[in-house]
Amino acid sequence: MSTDQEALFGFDGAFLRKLERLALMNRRPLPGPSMGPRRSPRHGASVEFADFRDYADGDDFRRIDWNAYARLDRLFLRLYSAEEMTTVTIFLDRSRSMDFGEPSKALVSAQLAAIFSFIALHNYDRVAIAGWADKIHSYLPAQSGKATIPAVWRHIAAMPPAGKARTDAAALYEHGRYGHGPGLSIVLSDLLTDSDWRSGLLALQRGGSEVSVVQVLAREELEPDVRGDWKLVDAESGAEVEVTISPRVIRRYQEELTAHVEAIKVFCRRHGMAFLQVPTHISITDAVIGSLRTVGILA
Amino acid sequence: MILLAPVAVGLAAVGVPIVLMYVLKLRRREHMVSSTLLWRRAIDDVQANAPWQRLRPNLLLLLQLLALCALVLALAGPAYTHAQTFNGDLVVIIDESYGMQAHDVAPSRFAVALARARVLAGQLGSGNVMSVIAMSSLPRPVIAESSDQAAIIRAIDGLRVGVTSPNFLTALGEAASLARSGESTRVVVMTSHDSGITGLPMAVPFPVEIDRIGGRLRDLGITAISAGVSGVHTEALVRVSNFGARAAHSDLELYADGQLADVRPVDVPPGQERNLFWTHLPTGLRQLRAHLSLTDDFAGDKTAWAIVGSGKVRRVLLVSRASAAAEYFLQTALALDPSVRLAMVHTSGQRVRLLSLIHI
Repeated sequence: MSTDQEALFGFDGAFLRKLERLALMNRRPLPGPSMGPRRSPRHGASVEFADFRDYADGDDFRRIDWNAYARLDRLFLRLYSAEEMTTVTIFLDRSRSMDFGEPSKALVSAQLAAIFSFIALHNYDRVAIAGWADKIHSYLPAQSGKATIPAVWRHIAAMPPAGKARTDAAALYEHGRYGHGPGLSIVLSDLLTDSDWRSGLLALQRGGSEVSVVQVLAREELEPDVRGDWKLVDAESGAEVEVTISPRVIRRYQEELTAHVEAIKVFCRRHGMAFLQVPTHISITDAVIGSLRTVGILA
Repeated sequence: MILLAPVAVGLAAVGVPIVLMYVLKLRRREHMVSSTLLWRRAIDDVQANAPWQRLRPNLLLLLQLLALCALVLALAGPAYTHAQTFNGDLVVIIDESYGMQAHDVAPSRFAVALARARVLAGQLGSGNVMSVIAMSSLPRPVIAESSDQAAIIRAIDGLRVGVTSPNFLTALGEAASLARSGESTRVVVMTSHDSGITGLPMAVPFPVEIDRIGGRLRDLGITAISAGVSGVHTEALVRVSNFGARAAHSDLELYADGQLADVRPVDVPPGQERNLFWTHLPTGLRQLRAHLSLTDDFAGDKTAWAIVGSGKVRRVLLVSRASAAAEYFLQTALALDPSVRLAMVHTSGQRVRLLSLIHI
């Protein structure tokens, strides 16, 4: 990793060395398109024993467990876990709402995408990057090998915003519906959308992915500090809300925020998805990495 | 404290829409946010889309309300009064001439004069008497040296405004005759602002207060109308005078036997008059009526009538058993027609059928 590449996201060498010791965690075996370090639900020829099954016509004689046959007088086939390479697809929300925050949610999301891609490529996984808003606006097909890390990072850093497009989880739904095979899907978004994000995430899961959701929120969204009479303008839709922001309204806002985040959490837990909320104003290097391990996104 | 123009207090109602504007419509600054999703949900039950907002301290609103209060006070004319404990007799001269019909003060100058006279009657001290003189061209006392407040007020309420000019000299003479010797007497004259009464025409041994009611008039009126026959046409003259302090404009409508015959615009500078002529009105007309469409402080001088003289003499016999007053008015009305030769018969003590014997 050259100094130029490190400078893209402000990571230093020590931090990258920490990342080299991490791996993306899959909560169930994943079948992959080629041999790699991950366990696969497909039984293969590695040395790790998985299970037995009855012999059937056409099975490979070499995998018959003759010791079992001697004891039980029945033909059993020994099954082994396959070690496979998996595809990690990172969905990066590029809608206009991601431009808010200090640092912006777009920058923090890009840093997280860089971290995930670095870990994945370092562990011989394949990495695809999808920039989305109301649809998949840009897509970097799956890359593999440590040598592709600089190219993947450059792609992430140069990924254009989606203009005036609104966050619409239908983009995830469409991507998942056509099925891009099994793998890991990491969705980076603020999920401040009234579109059907549940269907989007479920579609990714049904397409064979293990889904992790990272909700990136700015401090002004978590703890609004505006007071008084305002006409709030939605950056994406242009919708206006006239509101007199009093302590009471702030309390109601935070209750709604808590309810919204809780709904996402509950949904993720129910469907076996990992969820983490990342505020943009905390240090991404240590605090976030620790949290990602806690919620089971990183191993 | 009293208000000289209490009607102006009604302007204070303007404060209601001013406050409403602040409650209903707040001037809001725009603020771009990443999403209004949660804000919409947050205010759904807090504000329930209410069109009003809580009224909060606002310097601009306060200044506007203060300015309104100052304006209302200035227009209402607050004034301090103190009970006039005048220990003596009172003679009130109330002008009932034409000028008191003006309604530049509500409801009219005359009504205001009566109200003030009633107040004076209420303040009459024990042992003192009050007299009221109605001042027209022929001033007359309507109650003399009475200490009965109810009777005084009834007498005041019985006054009616007329169309004559005020005769202040005679009225003051009446007041002098009602002043009891040996008692202190005060005379209060209630007259219209532009009656011309500003000073005393004669020396009197008692104080005289002149209460001039009203302000600068707006009065455009018809002061003369005449009609006659010339050859095969009827001719008419209408004179319009402006008694007000400003130039006045109106349309003058001329009706011939009830039908609208002509409409002319008329502009009259203050204190001047205009004559309007018609020389080709149809012959055979009986009556002309002129009417000014303008509405101002006087309503009584906007319409005038004229009987068109035919040149023929008509003899009219007035047979009357009615009162002298009714007879007087009929006699006066008939006398206005130059073609009428009036003869009168009183039927008292005679049978009506005898009338048939009278040769007209």
